[in-house]
Amino acid sequence: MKFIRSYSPAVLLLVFLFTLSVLFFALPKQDYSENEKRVLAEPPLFSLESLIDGQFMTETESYLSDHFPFRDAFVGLQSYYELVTGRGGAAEIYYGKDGYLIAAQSDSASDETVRTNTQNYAAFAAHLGLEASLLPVPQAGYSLADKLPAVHRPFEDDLFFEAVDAAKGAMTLIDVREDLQAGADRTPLYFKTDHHLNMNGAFALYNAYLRSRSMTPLTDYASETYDGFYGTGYSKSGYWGAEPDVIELFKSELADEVTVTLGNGVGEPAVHDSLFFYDHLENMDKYPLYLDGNHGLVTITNPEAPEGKLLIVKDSFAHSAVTLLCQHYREIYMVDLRYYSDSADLTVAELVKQHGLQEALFLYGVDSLATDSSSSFKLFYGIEEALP
Amino acid sequence: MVFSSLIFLFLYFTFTLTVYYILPRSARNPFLFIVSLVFYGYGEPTLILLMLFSVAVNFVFGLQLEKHREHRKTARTLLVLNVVFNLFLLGFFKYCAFFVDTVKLLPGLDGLQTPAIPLPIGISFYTFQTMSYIVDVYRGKCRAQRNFVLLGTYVALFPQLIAGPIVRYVDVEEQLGHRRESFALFNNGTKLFLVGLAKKVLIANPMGALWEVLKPAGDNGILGAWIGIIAFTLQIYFDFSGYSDMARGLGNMFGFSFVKNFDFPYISKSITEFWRRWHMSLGTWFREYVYIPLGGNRCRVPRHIFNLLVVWFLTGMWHGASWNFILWGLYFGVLLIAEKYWLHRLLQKLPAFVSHVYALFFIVLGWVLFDFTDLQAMWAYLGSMFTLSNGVIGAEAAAYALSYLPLMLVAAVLCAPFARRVFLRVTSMRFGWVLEAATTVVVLLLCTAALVGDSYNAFLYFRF
Repeated sequence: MKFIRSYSPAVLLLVFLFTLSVLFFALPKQDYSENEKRVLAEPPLFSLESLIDGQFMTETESYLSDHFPFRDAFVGLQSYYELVTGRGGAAEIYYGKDGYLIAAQSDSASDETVRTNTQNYAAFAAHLGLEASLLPVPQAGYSLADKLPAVHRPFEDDLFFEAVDAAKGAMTLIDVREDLQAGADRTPLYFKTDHHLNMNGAFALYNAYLRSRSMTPLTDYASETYDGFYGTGYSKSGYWGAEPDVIELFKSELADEVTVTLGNGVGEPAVHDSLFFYDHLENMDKYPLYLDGNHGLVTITNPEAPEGKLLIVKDSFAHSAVTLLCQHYREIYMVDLRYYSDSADLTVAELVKQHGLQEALFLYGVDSLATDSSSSFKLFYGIEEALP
Repeated sequence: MVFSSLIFLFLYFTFTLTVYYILPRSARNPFLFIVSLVFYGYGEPTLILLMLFSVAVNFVFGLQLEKHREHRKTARTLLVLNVVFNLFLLGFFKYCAFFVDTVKLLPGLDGLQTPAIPLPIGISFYTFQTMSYIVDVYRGKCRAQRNFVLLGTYVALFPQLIAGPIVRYVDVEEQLGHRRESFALFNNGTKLFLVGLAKKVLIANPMGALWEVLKPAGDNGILGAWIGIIAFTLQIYFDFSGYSDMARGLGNMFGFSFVKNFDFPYISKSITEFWRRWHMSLGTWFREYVYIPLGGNRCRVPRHIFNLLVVWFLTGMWHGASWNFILWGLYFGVLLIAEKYWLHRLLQKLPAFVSHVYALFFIVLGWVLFDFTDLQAMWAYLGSMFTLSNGVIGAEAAAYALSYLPLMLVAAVLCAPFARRVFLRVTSMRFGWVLEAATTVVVLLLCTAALVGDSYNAFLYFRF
């Protein structure tokens, strides 16, 4: 005992280092990290070549850090330690009030990118004679300003909306900034642990679009709810103590007969008879419940619907709202330019022409509009002359 | 490999320590030599050859010098040849590109190709160590090392290999052959190592993160610019002194004692004092092997000023192959000359607080010269520190600054010996060991968490 008392730092250091080293070798390894949505590093392969070019060392480092004992616990400790020492305002995910984990605005977001993207959408629509609307979804941190911690970097959605307005050309801008401001008395419209809108928020988007098209939104739904949804904010932040969200879906009789085909524009797509993909409820991230997450090209047909055809160019913010929009359109062609294959059977312009599309909706989170500076150029494959 | 990494702590160190203490005494130095080479070659295996070559050449020179020590002329020639060799190694690998870039500025030579020679880590440190060995053999201060492995162990010894302290051969000659490891020394080493690890991981790294955001001057404003360079001031001290503490701690764990390298430099009241407290082993080296041989201060004033400027030109240049480092060195040279001849008496009369502010102001300003290799960016940054053209503070800079403020304040307090004194007093009380043990566990957990946290990168748009 006297020995330990005199030499406690040395004893503890040795116990700590050796225990974790031994556990690293002894504990079973996982292949996949659900939180990070990535495959974890494989054991390094030794060869003289990989030793000399340093690859062996790099691989060893990744293997060690990816499979470090109690890795998630250490990640959580680091996050909470930074939070309690005041550094929450410098984090990627803010620890907001009432359990909101709110993504900070990306460092690379710029109004220049917003302008370029908007101009591209407008030029594409004008070239093909589409009657087009643009619906940007404000960042959660903008709409939920009252939930943010006192210290945080600015959210520049107002600046980005100005840029959209200046570059929108003949497109209709659907401005939902007010609709998504959640006052104290209103139901929450964003998830707490995820950057997306919840079903009420999705309904607000649907409502705003129908109003701008002078159509009447439907309000009669059967709601289903599932709990235990841990979204991107949760996974990125390491705030493992956060409460999960409830994910909800609205079922309507009018959308009962839908056929959903998923693909990336190449070859035969997969055909499904439901808007909802219940398999994903088994995962932490349940958002792909709506339309199975991101696909390059999704076609939704609903023979019962009253209206014609609609092209939607979008990011994942559209998924939940589209489960409502398909009550009104017989055919919806939903394109995600980030995943739309460069070698697709039809370019987007050809898709428009072949199906005789006349109406288009560009639906993006402000975050994508302000940071994705490459994918909107894919619209001009085959119609390069239309580039602004 | 760096000490503040999972691979060092949980693979390299645990392995090296285990085998080292299992081996009989006679096998420990050869083992240390080999694992040090592995440590060195970890980033770039072919560099092991360079290291072995350097050790071998200096080994032979040492033996020859001793043999011919009586013939002053031969000995002198050997010394000059050796210095040329060592400086050539350093010059070729560290300064070649810089030299060509500078020569390119001459008319007619602008077509030269800048060679792309990767800088071997630690070369500035170990070249200085081997030179100290040869010069001290020449001066008769020590005997030439007859055992290649022992000389190799001295040069390559992993704790001090890549970032100092610059251990002189005379200081460890005895320890190489006859050192006594003990648990008390090991415990002492543990404490030093943990202090260093905490300095690096818990303070220097976050300060570096803050500096990285604030360094591009942009619209941070005057306050943002000052907070930025103060963050760098804290980063570089906690980083470098943390590394030295870890080196000394590891040295202790293997039975060595290395010289202290930092002594609370930011409490200095003059630039002269600052350089007695900052990177002390480098100062010692330049004094012993450059300044005194040049005549030191035992000469007339112009010559003394010349000597100082040479030393500070070289000190600046040692820090990096770029003009800003030379500027930085000469900046301190000029300040030191001014203090020696004029300011010295004034500074003694001023209230302590004022001379303190004086010293810190020039130290902090010096870091701007140090960290901007691009002179234009340096100028722009200085501009944002002294004009209001970018406003007071930008919204983003303010958010970052407020977030890091608590840590900055803690770091600033830790720059003075006060907190250390309190800690030592409390831990020497009856139940003080509980605090010592608790601190150990907290530091280990937080540092590991920070290192593991760095590797955690949610790849969220994949398989979405």
